[in-house]
Amino acid sequence: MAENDLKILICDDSLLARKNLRETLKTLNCQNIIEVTDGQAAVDTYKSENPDIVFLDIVMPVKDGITAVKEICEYDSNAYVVMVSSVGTQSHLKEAIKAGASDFMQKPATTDQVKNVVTQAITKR
Amino acid sequence: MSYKDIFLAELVFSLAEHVSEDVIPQPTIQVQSLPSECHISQQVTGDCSAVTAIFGEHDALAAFASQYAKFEVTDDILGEILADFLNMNNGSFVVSLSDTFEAECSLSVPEFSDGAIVPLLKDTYITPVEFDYGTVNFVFSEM
Repeated sequence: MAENDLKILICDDSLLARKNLRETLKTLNCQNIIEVTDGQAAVDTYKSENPDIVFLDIVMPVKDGITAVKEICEYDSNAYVVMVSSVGTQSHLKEAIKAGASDFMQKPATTDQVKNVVTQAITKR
Repeated sequence: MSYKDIFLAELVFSLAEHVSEDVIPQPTIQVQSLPSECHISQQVTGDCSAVTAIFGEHDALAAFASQYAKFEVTDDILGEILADFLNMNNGSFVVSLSDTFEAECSLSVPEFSDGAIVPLLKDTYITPVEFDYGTVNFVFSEM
């Protein structure tokens, strides 16, 4: 699998965060990107689209990212979900990992961090 | 060091890192009420309970948002971009609280209001920050 074969779901209520992550992914040759803005939409979209990577914010309307990652991982125990949050404390990290997240990045994510996630996803698939 | 001082320290860092190194924070002012044009806020909850907000003249806010976003921000997304800055700075603030005080805090979803945003809280402070295009004000109001 190559970068442009990956289906990637970005879930963040911040327009700017989505834009920055989308542009970073495009520089890494990832073109198949779906964007949603709340945790419930992330769960629903995961079930319908089965993406290879999910980038998930924590603080969001309707359903927060921690609840969403739990539901995604209950549905698919192999889901590759990376939390991307402005709140990168140890307790948030632990909570995210306990909920099923594979990784955690503090905003703004760097190109290298995103590249590592993409590489991991390709390796896993 | 108080929560307010940590908030201000993180604000200066965030502005220098993400907006402009040429920022001049003015002395912080303690106030009894918030200006009516203060419409964008975000709550910090947990060991530190506070409301943060941003306000200013429209043109200054638009220029600030464009400088932060690194593209021309139009009115339809101005609030979202300002809320994004608030959220980004508050995230750093919460991390700093955790590191400094081992305080456990979270953030709420940023709020947009047509009216006055926050009930009057215990200690409300406004820090005006001057840019060459105008002044942007940041609010920290501890419950």
